[in-house]
Amino acid sequence: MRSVYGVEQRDRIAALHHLRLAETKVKGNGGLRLRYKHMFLEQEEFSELWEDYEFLSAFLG
Amino acid sequence: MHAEFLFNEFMTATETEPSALHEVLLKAACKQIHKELEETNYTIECVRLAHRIFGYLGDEGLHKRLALMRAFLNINASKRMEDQFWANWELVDNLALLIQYKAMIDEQKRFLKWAKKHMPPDDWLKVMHDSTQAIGWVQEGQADAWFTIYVELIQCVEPTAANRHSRILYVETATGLLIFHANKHSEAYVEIERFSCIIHEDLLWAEYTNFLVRLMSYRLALSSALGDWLTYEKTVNEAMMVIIREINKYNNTNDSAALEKVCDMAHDTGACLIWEKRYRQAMPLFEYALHNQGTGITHYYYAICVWGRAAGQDRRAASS
Repeated sequence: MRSVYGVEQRDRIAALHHLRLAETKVKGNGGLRLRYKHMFLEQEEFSELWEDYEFLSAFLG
Repeated sequence: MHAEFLFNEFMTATETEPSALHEVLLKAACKQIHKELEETNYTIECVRLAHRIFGYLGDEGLHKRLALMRAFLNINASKRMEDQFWANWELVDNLALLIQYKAMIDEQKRFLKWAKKHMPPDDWLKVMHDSTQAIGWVQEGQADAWFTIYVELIQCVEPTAANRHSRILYVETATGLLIFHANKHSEAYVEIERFSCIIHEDLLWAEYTNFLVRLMSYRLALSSALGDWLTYEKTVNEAMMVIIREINKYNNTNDSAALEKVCDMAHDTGACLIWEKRYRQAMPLFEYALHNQGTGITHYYYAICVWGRAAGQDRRAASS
C-alpha cells in the first residue's frame, strides 16, 4: 500500500516509530529529548511531512 | 517521595519501555526537585540531580537549567572550583542549545576570564572547545574573535597526554567551523593535519580508534566539499574497515565499554553518509548502533534514512 507521498506504508510506519522513540527514549538523550520537533521541522528530508498531523503528533513537545 | 526516587522510577520505566505514559513520573520529579533545591539551599548534589531531570523536559527544561546554574553560582555558600566550572560551562551550553547566542558569547567570555584566574590552563581549552557553542559565535558574526581565542589557547597550552582529549575536541570544532560554516578548505586541511598529529601522539591511547574514526568523518566532509569523490570513497572504506575490526574485537572480548565506542563510531560515520544522502549505505551502521546502544539521536537519524530512501532521495541509488 502506498501513501500520498509515494512511500510504502511500512516505511511510513517505520519512520514514525523511530521518531517516537527518538522523542521518548532516555539513553544518551539528556538535553535533546522533547526537542526533536525543532530538528524535524528543519530537516530537508522531512519537508513534505511538515504539515502531516500524524508525524507532528509523534512528538510530545 | 524524593525527587531522586521519582526520577529513577521514570528512567527505569522508560528504559524498559519508552512511552508518554511515564511522563507523569518525570513531572513529579521536576516538581519535587524544586522543593528540595530550596530546602537544601542548592547543594551540589541537588543541583546535579535537577540538571539531569531538566535535561529530559525539552526547551522548558533548558530554561530551567539556565535559572538553576545562575542560582547556584550566585548562592552565598562555599562551592568547589570544579563545581563552579561545571555550572559555568552548563550555563553557556544551555544558552547555545536555546540559540541565545548574544548572551552565550557574553557568558563564555566572562567564563574564560574566570577560568584563567582560577583554573589551570588545561581547563581553558574546555571553556572554548564545544562545537555547538562555537556555532553561536559564527551566527553572530564573531567567527574571527572565536579563532583569535582558538589560536591563542592552542598555542599557549603545553600539549600533554592529560589534555590530549581537550585539544582534539578544540581542533575538531575549529575544523568543523572551517568546513561547514566558513568554507575555508585549505585552512580546514591544516586543522585536519593538526588533528591527525594529536591522535597519533600515542597509538596505544585508549581513545585512539574512536578519534581516528572521527578524524575520518572530517576527511569525508572536506573531500565532499572539494568534490574529491575518490578520496571520499577511500575514506568511507577505511572507516568501515576500522568499525568492522572494532566489532570483531568486541565480539572476542564482550567489553561493554568497547561496544559503546563502536556504536558511537557507527553513528558518526552513518551521520556523514546522511549528509551525502547515502541513506542505504548508512542504514546498517545505524542498525548496529540501535541494536546495541539505541540512543534517541540514532533513532532520529535512522528515521531520516528510512524516509529519505523510501521517498527516492538516496543519491547513491539514484546515480547507480
